[in-house]
Amino acid sequence: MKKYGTYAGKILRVNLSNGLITHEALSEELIKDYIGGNGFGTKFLFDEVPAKADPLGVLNKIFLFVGPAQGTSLPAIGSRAALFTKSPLNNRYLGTYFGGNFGSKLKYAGYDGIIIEGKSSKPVYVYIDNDNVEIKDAGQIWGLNTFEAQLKIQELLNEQDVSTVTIGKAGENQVKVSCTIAGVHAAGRGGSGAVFGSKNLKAITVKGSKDVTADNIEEIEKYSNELLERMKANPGTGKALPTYGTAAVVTVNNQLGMLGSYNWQEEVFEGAGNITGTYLRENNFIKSDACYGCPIACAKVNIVREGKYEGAMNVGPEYETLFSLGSNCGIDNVGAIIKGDRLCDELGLDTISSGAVISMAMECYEKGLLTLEDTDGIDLKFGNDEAMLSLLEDIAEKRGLGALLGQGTKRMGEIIGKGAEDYAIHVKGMEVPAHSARGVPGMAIGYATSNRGGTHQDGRPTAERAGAVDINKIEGKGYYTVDIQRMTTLSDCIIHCRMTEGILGLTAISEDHRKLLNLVTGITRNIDELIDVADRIYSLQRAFNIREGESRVDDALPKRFTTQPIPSGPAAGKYMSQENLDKLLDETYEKRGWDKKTGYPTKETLVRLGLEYVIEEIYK
Amino acid sequence: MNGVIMNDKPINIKVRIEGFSETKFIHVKLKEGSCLTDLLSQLIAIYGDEIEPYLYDSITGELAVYSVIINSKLYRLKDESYQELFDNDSVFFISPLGGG
Repeated sequence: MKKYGTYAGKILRVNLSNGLITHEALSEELIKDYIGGNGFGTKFLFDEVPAKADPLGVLNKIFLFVGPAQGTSLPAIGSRAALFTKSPLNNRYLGTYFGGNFGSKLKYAGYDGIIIEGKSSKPVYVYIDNDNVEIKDAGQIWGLNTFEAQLKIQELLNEQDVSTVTIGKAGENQVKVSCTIAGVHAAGRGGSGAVFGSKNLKAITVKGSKDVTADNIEEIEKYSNELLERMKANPGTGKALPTYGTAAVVTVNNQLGMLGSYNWQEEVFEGAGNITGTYLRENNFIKSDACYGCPIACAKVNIVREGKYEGAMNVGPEYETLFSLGSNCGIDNVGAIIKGDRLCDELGLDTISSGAVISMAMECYEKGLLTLEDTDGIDLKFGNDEAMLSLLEDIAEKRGLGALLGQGTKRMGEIIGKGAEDYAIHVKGMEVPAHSARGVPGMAIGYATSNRGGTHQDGRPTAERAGAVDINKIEGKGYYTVDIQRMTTLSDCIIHCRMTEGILGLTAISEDHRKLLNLVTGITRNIDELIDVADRIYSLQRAFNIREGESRVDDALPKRFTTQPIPSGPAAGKYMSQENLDKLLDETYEKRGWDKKTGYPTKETLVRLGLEYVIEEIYK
Repeated sequence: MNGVIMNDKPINIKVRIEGFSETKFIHVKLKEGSCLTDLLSQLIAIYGDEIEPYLYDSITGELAVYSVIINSKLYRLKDESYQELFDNDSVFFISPLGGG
């Protein structure tokens, strides 16, 4: 096959059931129709994981992909990677992304991706050293936390220059709000850790020493330098993020009156001043940390210098965690949040979903739906930081109340009953992150039409939050969100960090996206052709979910967001009524070419996107 | 007076720009009847190169901040840069950061 751009041209396949290790060439169809990352993951997931497969069963697979840009010098792009699987949290398509340096190392080893299938009879890890790939015994690593496991693997291999993606106790115990950790970076959402655990797979470790080459590598480097300068010149990527990291968003959202608090009963948090980026910078900051090749260095190493959590230290917390373990649990002790963030990373727990299940439990307790008997004597009121920390460990161990919480808010609501469903703040079974669906209309429709559920990575809050787009306008936000989702879909093929959205494109696929992709793929495409690629991928994800039973009725928001206006603060009175949501759904379906009644991509749309083979799968 | 001559009665504005002013507000005096555009000009006049990187893209020279919050109410600079400011107003500049 002709070599395209900066692709390695090879995918590794590891079967844990029979130990077979093979590799296959990257097909021309994949490159042209699906680009990389998200596109590859979606295509393989749809084609290889059958409908109704148990996410924690042997038929589910793990697809770890990079894209053409990984391994290059492109800033905030070159190091990243992504995992794709069927989510055990909500039985849907899952794509979850992480920084660090795993993505570049995988490319240097000569691969565009790894497919893990089957199930090992005992704990193992996969070691990739360029062309040499082994399934190795993980007996000495199983049971270790994620940081210990990475260090132990280095010790066992007697090799420092490796990168590892691994799971902690939560993944080993197949907890549905678990995650995977690479270095200090989480592929956070949807329970990917549990899928690793279900296969007795503790980790994947990679070492690579090959070059990433292309005929136009000098042109790529020139563009890379240009992006670098533009990132430095922008107040967001050049000043705010390097100084505070994403924690700066706490202040912004609280000022806007859109900081989820007390399980979203409120959106102004009186203790916000104690959990801002500024507070962390002044009281806890040690130094900044960056992903490989990134000039932003948004990660902040923080330590607790006094109080009952003195000595706790972590890289983080990010904004999402300051919300999920902080304001949404009514906790303004930043020391507890730092300690909780560290615990989540070590145990391999998604901080967003873990915080959400705890805040829901707190509301259930305060409203009498959970009792002291249910909580094993814990006074689970909002603001109880010690309870939050002990519950994190219980969730990872599936112990006591933690066993219930680890199933996610949707199942919690179903099991607790008595109206608890109304306090389950999820979309399609995935917990909603920190961005207000009541205050940010584009985010509301973005959540509702996300193929993953409650994620802020399909729809995006940034343009409305920053003021580039009118946050008060609802009409038209359905059309707007399709443009955003096309952009994020394509961005996830490139696997560029969301921090750079203000540079590469904030509201739609941009000239920069086009230029970047043409450079690294070696294929000349215009923006309309790239929109078709994005629509092909998004509709295929949708088809994957339709095979699982999804339809328009699932494109919904939590009842709290559609019936209860924000009660106080600057955004008081805002909410997304079901009537408005329905109008926005119609807008998105119209623009996407999806049927307004069912929410299915129409047959005509599937044909136009080259997805004829999907028709018989979803129109049975 | 921050070195700016004013003949009319001044109004006092508290300004916060994440990173530049951190937890403390900058206190700026403006002429009565001044608007957000005047505030931006005054900030540049007072702080010059110190503050510009927090507000403007240093390559394009364009204002990179899209909106401000005045006393808990959001204003978009694109449409509302002529919003009048009043004595003791607090103005918070929203940094255009992604991620999170």
